[in-house]
Amino acid sequence: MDGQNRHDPFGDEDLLEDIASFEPKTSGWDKPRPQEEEVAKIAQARGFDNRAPVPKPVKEALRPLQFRLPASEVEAFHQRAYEEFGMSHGAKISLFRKMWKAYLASLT
Amino acid sequence: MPTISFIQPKGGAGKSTSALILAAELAKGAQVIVIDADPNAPIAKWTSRGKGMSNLKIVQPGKDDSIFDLIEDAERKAAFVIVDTEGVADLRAAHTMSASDFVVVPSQGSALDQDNAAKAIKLIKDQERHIGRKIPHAVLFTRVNAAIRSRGMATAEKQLAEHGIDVFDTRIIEREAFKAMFSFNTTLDHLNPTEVSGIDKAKTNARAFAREVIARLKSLGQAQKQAVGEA
Repeated sequence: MDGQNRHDPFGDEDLLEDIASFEPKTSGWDKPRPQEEEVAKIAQARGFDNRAPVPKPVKEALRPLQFRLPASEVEAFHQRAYEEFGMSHGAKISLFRKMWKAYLASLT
Repeated sequence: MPTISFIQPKGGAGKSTSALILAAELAKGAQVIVIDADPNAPIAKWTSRGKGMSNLKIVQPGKDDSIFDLIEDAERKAAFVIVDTEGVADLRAAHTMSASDFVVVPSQGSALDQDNAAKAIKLIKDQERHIGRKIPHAVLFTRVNAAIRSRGMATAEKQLAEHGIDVFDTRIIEREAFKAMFSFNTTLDHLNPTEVSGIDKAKTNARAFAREVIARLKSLGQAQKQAVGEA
């Protein structure tokens, strides 16, 4: 029972107190209100007048590519991938793509 | 009273999710108005389809409404105003920036997100020069993989650091619970742990984001008071 009433020093009370310390504005607009036409000019110069959404990259569906090779070759491939791209997710994919691009480039 | 806007000209960067995360955290302790300026109205739909929150009100601008007027009106009614904008480079986003006390620029760290974050930040700087006041802003990394730091993210961090662009320490992690807020039209606190995983981690992440926003607003308020005192 005592435990339930005890103040939790790790709780969110301080955050809630901080949030509650903010209040609605009581007086008028205290920020300089820019002229809308001027904002429009500046925005247009930065390309902010285009209503067309920026397209999201189209994600192509993924399929696995599976085949068996001698263990030593697989190990060497893994080793090279980690050396080039770090011990991260996708290192082997990155190495495969690099090799694939080089192969395609060699055809042209 | 502070107006916090979420601006990123590219869609799918996590604007609405991070705006809702922040709004829901702030509404636990104060009145919040969200101006849902995205025509897809994700936050307005979240409220109308679910129970919403008593402290959280949604305003949907009409096509011809002035964002300045809407923000000014909302600042008189609520302790916090949050503006969620559409993922396009339009004039409404530009107007929203110039009326904001803080601009959050969400980015997933991809090259496309970074390009568009840079576009938004360059416009903020242009507007600062025009209106003669700082528009505090920071990049918020969103949909971040909890386990792996990708090369793309590392590059994005490096670019931002090189250009001295402020970045939130908190990152919004890619979590099922954040998506579930929209699927179930409810808050993190009301999600069912038997249906959604990682709720506690999502709550911790949301709280950390709110805490960092509040700390930044308090620090800006103190700086403004000091500037007024010195003047």
